[in-house]
Amino acid sequence: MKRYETLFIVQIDLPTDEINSIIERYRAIVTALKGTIIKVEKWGKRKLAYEIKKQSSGNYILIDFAGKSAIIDELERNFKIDDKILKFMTIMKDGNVDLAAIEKETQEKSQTEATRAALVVESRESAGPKIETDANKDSTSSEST
Amino acid sequence: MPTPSRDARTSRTDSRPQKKFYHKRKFCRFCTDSDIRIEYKEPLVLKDYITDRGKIIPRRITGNCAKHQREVTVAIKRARTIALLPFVVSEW
Repeated sequence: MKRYETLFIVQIDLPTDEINSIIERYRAIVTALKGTIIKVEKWGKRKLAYEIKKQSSGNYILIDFAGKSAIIDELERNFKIDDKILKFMTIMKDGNVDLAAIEKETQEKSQTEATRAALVVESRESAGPKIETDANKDSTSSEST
Repeated sequence: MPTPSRDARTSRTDSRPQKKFYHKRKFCRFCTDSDIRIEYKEPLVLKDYITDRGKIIPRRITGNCAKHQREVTVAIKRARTIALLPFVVSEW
């Protein structure tokens, strides 16, 4: 099993439902050919460094998956047919990957994200009262001067 | 008869003043300072290694080591194909 990363650019003037349906379609292709999707990232609108098909910005989507090379042929065939996809690029990230290692990675990532989210919430709660006291101090100092 | 022409050629190269100055030793940013990942998805890191026209800066100026210069080049070329970095920045 090899690990690949596909980054493709979709037109910006599409509603989010359509973009989600596009992503679902490609996810289905990957899973239909027995690939495992590791992550899907939506980068959102970005300005392109050069015009592609007369468009100056695009919606970037990243799919990280592991599987056989036949998946890539099928994905790229569909990318070429689809008019709404401006550009695509697939890169091999790793030559030899097994499912167990991938599952570990995804679990670790989800755990770290959960802990990070918890920490952020805690810091916000603790920072609340502190900010108020600082504001009081600032107001008193300005009045004195 | 071929030998006098060869002597003429060597004398010409000796008389030309040679621009030999030793480049100041620069360190490779990726080897020493930090653990920045060289990835095509991070154009902010890669922007330091292209000129304002979008050309890749040679290694003797940036000070990269050979291995990281190769990685930077591959990353820049990948970023160019996916429109994260320009191929050419033309001046108006």
